[in-house]
Amino acid sequence: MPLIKVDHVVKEFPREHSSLLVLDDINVEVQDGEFVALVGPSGSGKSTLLRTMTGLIMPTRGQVLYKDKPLRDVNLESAMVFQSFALLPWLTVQGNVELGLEARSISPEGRKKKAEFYIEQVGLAGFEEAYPRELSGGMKQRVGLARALAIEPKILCMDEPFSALDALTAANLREEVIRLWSEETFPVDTVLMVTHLIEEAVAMASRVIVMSAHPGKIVGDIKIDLPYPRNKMDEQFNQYCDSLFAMIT
Amino acid sequence: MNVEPLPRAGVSKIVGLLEILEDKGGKDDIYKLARDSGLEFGEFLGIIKGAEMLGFVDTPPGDIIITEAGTAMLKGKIKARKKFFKNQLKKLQTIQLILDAVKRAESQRLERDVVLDIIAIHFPNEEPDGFFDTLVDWGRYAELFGYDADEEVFYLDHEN
Repeated sequence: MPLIKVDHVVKEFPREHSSLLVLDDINVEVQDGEFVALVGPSGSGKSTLLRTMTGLIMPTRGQVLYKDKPLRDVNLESAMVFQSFALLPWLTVQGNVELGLEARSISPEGRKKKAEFYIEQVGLAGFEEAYPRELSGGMKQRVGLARALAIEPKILCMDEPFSALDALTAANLREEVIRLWSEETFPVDTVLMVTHLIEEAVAMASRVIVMSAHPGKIVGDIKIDLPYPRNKMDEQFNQYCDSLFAMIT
Repeated sequence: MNVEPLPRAGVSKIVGLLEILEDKGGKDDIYKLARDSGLEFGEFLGIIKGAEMLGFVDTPPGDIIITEAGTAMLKGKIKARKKFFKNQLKKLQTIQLILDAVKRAESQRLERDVVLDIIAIHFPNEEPDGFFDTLVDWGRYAELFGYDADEEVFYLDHEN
């Protein structure tokens, strides 16, 4: 049984006199334990597909099944890391990470402990009392990651998580996320990531789904059979990138 | 005491620099790395300066080379990296200077303005706010120093 099954999903957004077709008959199955990257140019509907897969957006036609059951609301077993970090500026790192736990029935003491644990996991120990304004982009995104992990989701969703960061910071975070994902203490084993960078997808994912634009369609789906850590200088790495580029262009 | 000012250089950027260098076989031309980083050149030089002060890279003319310490920093998991970073950080005379001042202070806490004064006295040509930001960023990452922005108090982390 796949963890997620996207079954003939069509998504249209209404416009004044017509509608905009964003996803056109999408069929995907995601297995437990996969790290799936959705890549494609802007307008390919990759972020819409990610949100549809987690129940944040309902399809116009078709359905999304989670553990074989139709998804009718936001999947509470998923958590999202946003490109823009989405931190509350008046809360500290600790406060921002605890915030994600407030909607769950966890005692204040339990929230504090869980937040502290995941703050440490992502390398933010020592930054607990810092406010977002005091943090670099890389540290802000670690907060976003800790907040998502703290709810111990089954699926971690990341929407362009590194694209607001400079190249050096992004290189650091990519590598650390992969390391965390490979560790047994990491609470999540399935990751869905949207990116417009093919190299990023090949560096991180175990499988890459390629989408084309206007309307969004799946034009490729390949497994990346390379050991971690991956090196962009490797010949095989380049071959994967070339094949994926060829699918888009 | 031979003390050097701290450049504007966040930890994530320094570690990212090392990771990119390692991918490139441990060595690159500085101008190529600067171009690929997409950072403003002055900012990029600050990152290199920071990495060099911490012993992670060498910069013979025109090149940048990862050192054994730089490679060792990358080997560990997140906790080990923080510990390794702390060891490197404590080797800096500048950090020792601040560390001594905090240790001598009552409750091992100093007001932000006092730290800025120390910076201004020892580094009259430096912009103290940028120096302070790096001190806090590196200090927090290493769990050597803490900073309470509400109270504007800089302090020695409890385990030190």
